[in-house]
Amino acid sequence: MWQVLFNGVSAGCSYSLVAAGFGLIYTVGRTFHVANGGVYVVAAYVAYFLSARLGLPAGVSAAVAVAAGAALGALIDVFVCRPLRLRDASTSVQLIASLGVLIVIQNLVAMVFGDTAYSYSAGTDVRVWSFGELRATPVQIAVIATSVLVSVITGCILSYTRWGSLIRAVANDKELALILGVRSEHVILGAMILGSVLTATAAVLLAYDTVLTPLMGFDAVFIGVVAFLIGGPGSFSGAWAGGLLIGIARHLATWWFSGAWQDVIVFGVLIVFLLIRPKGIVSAR
Amino acid sequence: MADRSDRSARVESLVTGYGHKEVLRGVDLHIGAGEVVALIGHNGAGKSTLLKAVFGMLPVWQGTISLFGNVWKSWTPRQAICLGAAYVPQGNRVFSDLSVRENLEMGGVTLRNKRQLEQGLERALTQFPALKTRLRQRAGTLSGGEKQMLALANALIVSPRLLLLDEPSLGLAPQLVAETLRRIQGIARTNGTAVLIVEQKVREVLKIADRVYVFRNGRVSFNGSAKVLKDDAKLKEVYL
Repeated sequence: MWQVLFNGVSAGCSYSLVAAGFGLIYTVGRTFHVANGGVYVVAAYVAYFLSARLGLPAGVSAAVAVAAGAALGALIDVFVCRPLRLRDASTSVQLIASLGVLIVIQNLVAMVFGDTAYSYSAGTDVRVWSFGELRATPVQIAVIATSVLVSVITGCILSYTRWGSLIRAVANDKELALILGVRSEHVILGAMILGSVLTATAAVLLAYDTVLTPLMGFDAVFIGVVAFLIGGPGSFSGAWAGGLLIGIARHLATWWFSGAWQDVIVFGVLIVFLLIRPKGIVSAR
Repeated sequence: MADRSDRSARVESLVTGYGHKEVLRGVDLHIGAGEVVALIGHNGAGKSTLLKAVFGMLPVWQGTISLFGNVWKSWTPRQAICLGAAYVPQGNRVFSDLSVRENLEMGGVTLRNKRQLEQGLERALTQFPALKTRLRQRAGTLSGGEKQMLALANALIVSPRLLLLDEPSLGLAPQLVAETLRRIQGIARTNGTAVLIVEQKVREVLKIADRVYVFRNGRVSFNGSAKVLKDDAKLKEVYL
């Protein structure tokens, strides 16, 4: 039982980053940025190919993958999202455009790398550390540590830096920000990049744990949407907690029933939340 | 061309609106340094629209707007701020999720360096000492009167030469209205700021205004000294 919980927390920590990435972008953009799933796919594939195929050290390939994810996030904003925002496109138009970007990216990845599922796990570290009854792999520990560290750094950026207060100001009242002379397009781009970094980091962490397929972007979107709804729309910390909860729920589901029940349980949790706490764990305002 | 010595803002034959709907149908208006000019008139007469147009939030369809010698066909709010304007929209809006200090920093976001920001903060806090003890408090928890002060302080950080105020008394307790308007008059007198104020509380605003423009259906139906309108018969004549 404790072991299952621990495995759930470990997986949940990377889901948290995915969800926090989506949540952060939502706060400023006010649309659910589905295309962020594309950032997730690309970052995971870049990390895999640099380390598994080209034999670069894990740290280097992770850093390059996160940078690539951030750059892709910026490009998507500049070439797709910003033009739509400037034309006052409706939320549904922005959502569909974003979904289109995700599909294009997933298919491009499929064209370049093929549909085959890749997996790291063969050949990587198989050591297991024991803490009392708990067994943890170095990968799990690294995932938890990285996730917590990245989240804390992001939280500090949001709370204590000028950039962070600009992001919160635009999220709070975009028109007032404009009236005071904030360049909101720059701020939104900054938030997109920060969100992409979170998502790409999660992708790199999860790449060690799961198989890579071009369609894995939908997985990220799924986690993002559910965690976002459970955590409370527009709340960074809520989305983070929601992600963690999904990780735990998935692992408990596998343990109690079978792997096939994972997403049934996740949706069950979502429905329970929508019924008893429709505004999410951290209800925004 | 910019004429540095021009200390007034003027609007000439301005036509503008939202989408395809024309709201202002040819408005002429001017305001000089240290002057308080009130815009009054019924809802939908175009008073708020004029403020937005001057601040660069609406495209100019016809006519011109000039701020202190800069005649432009269009500008963004950020450019308007750099030309010396500041705008406080209706409803005393502040960033409710940010602390009072963070709000004031947003007010000074266009300032070039930290020193200017510190000076601006200092000046704003001297003008609104009540905010001093609340710098770390979340702005959403302030009272209506305090939010109003913060909204004004946010606009004053950049030491504007032209202050555009849209119904600053809206939602304030009655006893605060006169006090707020007097404070606004004080800003015009001590800082030499030109204050263009839209207000529904006509009698109160006439007490602090130097001149008045009465708007009707997108046009100016009367303009002149505020003193003239203090006479009830005259006010009724132009306003009703």
